[in-house]
Amino acid sequence: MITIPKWTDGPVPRTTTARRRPPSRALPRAVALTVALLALVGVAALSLGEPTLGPVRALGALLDAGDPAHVVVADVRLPRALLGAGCGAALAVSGLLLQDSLRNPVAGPELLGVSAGAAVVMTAVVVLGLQVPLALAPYAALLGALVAGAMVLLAIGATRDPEHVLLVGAAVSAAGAGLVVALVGLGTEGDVVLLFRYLLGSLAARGWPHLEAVAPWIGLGLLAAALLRSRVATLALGDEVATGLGVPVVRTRVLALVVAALLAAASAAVCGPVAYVALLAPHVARRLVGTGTRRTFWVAPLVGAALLVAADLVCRLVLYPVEVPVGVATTLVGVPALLLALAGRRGR
Amino acid sequence: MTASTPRPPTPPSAAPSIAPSAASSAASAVSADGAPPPAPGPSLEAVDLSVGYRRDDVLSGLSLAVEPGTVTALVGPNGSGKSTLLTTLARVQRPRAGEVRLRGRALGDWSSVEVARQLALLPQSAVAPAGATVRELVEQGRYPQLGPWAMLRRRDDAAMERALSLAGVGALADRRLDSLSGGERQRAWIAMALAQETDLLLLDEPTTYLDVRHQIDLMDLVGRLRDEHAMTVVMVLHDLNQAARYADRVVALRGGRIIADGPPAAVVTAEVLREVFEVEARVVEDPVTGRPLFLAL
Repeated sequence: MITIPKWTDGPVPRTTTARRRPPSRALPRAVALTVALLALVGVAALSLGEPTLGPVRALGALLDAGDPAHVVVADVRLPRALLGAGCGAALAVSGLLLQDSLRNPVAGPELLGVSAGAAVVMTAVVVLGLQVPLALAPYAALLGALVAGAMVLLAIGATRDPEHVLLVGAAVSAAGAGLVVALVGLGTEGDVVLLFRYLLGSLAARGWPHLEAVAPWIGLGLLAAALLRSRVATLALGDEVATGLGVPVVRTRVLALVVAALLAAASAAVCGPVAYVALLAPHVARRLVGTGTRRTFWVAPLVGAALLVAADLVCRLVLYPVEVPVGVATTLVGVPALLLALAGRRGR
Repeated sequence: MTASTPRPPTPPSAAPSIAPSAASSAASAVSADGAPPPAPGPSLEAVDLSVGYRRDDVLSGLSLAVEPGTVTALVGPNGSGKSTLLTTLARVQRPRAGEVRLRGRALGDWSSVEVARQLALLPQSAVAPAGATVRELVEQGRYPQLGPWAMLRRRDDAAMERALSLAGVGALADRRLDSLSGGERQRAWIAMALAQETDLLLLDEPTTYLDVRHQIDLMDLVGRLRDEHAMTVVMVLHDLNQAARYADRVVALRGGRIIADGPPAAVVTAEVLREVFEVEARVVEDPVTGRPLFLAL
């Protein structure tokens, strides 16, 4: 029924003279590299700390319930590493969706009000002494994050203008940050701990219940992002080009925002507003496999996971026995890395 | 189907012909000995089309039928509705009244992806993602053909290679767009549209901001797409002399209506120029091409 123009049946010309990095091979290579990196960081996260175990010993203790180190490896370090990996992946994909669908390289979930929404709820729970059982705390934070995200999405309406999305998101985030400060002001000195446990972004003292609470949301979000990725890729070329390619632009952008908000909310619910992972991981992924959401989707979550697990590991060890909130580390690493990336981009 | 195997053109940037006059005046003859047009009747048709933003109608009751295998130029002053007509033909803009027909069927009866498999649009609003290479851009043109899992298959790679070569950017495939000249970048975008493998190509002011040499290269490419690949091209052009030189048909718009429509010699006349552009001009015969050439008085 569809007539194919005749030139499409012709022989395939060899156009490329210097194929330094054919995309077909760059992607599997980057995936292998980042998986290896993540595995390495993961084993380190299981092994290091107090007590420090060799990697073989740590993996052995994980499987052997009779090992004295089994509890610390299997019930403390493993869920924490998995949570770091899951949240890192969620943040990375959230940032990727936002950056490509809004055509803004510095867009991130911070600008959707999602992190602020979760922070407001968690602060309120602690400062006002609300009776929320520990097991339900992640859900409360998730609710706050989703409400804030929904507010931004409703305020935007069916806009065609990506700039508008960022402005509304920044306004809601600022309002959330103000609320957090106001709530902390109501509290006592004892509540300062909250700052370290949650508001700066932390993975300390998280375990299987936290992981169980958010894993389904993260899984759902990643699956939805996988289905959206090639549509989102076309949005990066401009709304008219995307429409010309047959993509429903407004619907795709709204879906991308919803999925990004869901992923960021799941992450913020358990580990607070971890800064810069969402911003940085997509840029690292683009360095590895080039632009195009269809490919970067496979690499960005692995990068984000490795980043967050590694940052958490460093925070756990550097001032032992005191833990530095992981959000501090991601900020300290994220800002110079981002500046370097921007400088390198302009220089070439 | 009867066409002899179309040889992909030799690297076009290597030797642009200096005198395209013979080729372009013999255009109709060339397409006549090629394959007959696949479907009789217009490939794209606007029927009684009205399009507007808010209260004002940009186009009102406009009808236009585009014949397959031709190059049509839309000309007119700023705000005449020529870009709106182009984007409406491409289903980007919804008409208020009337309809656009693709192969005789209303655009609304096709799914958006089916339309994108038959009609490629290069709008002016195109944005190159920061840091993207030519190949990454061209890959996006494969979106309408991708399967449910959106993985690129061998035939997608083949289509991309052909599009790169046809647009003359094969050697630049792995270069970043922001490192290219304006002319090269425009060709990269054309390659993106060609990767869609459509019969119909809609271009919005493809030569704006290009220097003379790149303008000529681009127009020659449009001529080749029609002559060697039986493509149908509709483009908005700012430069009336360019339209007269390269198009088979010139459509002059003003205030959302078609003022004149026909072969260049019939449209590029002193009277039409006065009515459409409010320009007093003398029209002479271009000594190189034999097409009309206007000189403002």
